[in-house]
Amino acid sequence: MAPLEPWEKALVSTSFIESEHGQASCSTCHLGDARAKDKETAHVNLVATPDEIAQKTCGNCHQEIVTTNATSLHSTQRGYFQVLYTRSIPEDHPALDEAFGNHCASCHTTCGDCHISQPNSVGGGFLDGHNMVKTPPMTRTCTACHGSRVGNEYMGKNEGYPGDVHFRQGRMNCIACHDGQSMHDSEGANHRYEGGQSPACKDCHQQVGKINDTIAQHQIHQDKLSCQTCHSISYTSCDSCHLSISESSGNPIFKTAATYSTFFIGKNNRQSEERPYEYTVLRHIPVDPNNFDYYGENLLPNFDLLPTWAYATPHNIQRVTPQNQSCNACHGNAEIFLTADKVKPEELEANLNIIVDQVPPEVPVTP
Amino acid sequence: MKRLRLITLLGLGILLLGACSTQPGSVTPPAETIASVTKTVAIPTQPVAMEPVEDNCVTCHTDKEMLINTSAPVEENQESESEGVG
Repeated sequence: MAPLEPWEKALVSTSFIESEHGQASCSTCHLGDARAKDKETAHVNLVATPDEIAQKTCGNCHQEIVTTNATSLHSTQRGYFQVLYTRSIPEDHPALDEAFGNHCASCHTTCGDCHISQPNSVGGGFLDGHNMVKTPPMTRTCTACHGSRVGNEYMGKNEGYPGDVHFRQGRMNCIACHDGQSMHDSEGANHRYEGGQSPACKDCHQQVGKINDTIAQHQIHQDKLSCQTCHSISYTSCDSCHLSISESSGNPIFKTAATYSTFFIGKNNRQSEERPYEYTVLRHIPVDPNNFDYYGENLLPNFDLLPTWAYATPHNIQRVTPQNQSCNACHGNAEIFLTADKVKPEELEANLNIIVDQVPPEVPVTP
Repeated sequence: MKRLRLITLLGLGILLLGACSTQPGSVTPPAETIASVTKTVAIPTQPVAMEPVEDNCVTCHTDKEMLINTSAPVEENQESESEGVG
């Protein structure tokens, strides 16, 4: 969708004025001076996004959901802090926090970021004349942020690779799997791959691996391989995202060294009761020891504590994939396993736990 | 024993209070009040001037032309200085 015109971003519809939410005066939430005759005076002390203090605005009526959402990963971005701080030391946290505030905090999501406006990454502005949109539209909210990997994979925007079967054939949007409950409540998880799988493929595909499952491979592999290991195709990986402040404009900027398609199976470094798999697919994330050099020297001294090839759940699921066409499309096929020779020498140490030393041997095929 | 005494005392207290209370039917309103109720109030011929609650936010933000005239123009050269996929 084309970016909204500047006036269009702020045009309030009469349907909003007449709606229940429109009964309060604007200044109740946005402050400013409602009696002022000119824009400049009216906007003095204006709070453009009053949902930043959601407990005092949205929370007046939606208290329970606002309270839960305040601790969700969308709101707190704890997942990022978990990995940043693991690679760092407490003395460096303030510098990392500053970098995070400049470059990454825009991913922080308020109530209005999904239910009133579209994110700044697609130009901002109201979704529907300030009306509260109960179900956020997929491309104007979800994939506006989760676009370069999830969105492109899901909708088949990566040249040569089809979109996810759930999108192509099921016409399912994001909330078909990621419902409101799971968006508002992360159930205490500190990372999206912590705690229960929400959603899990088995929520719908309940027959998989059960006694009446006619696909033998499901029974053989079900706790050894994540679903994506057999059912996803090539997905996007990135290298080295370097952050700085532009000398000319003063804006926070980034430079990503490379973006490319990969498909590699590796060891699961997030093994848990909920993710018991031995193998999963791995995506190279744009981390390197010098990501934050602009903000200080050696801010990731424990860089090797986490892999640079991370547990991934590509959103390009297919029933038939190159690796699941036969046993030996995968077994004995070193090309699709993340072996040491495919990892940059300077990242070997960080990836020791996920590198596959021994590719599963070929399976004898009876003629 | 103590408890029995306490209950007896409470019961007596309630009885005394009940005896002191006035019967609803016996209340005679003062003549002044009756007069004020029966007094007819003149209906104003002119409508009462209500001070309107000014909310210029809505006036401006529902007026497309006004927003076109007052919204900040798109800055030239909005090309992102960042490189690569975010």
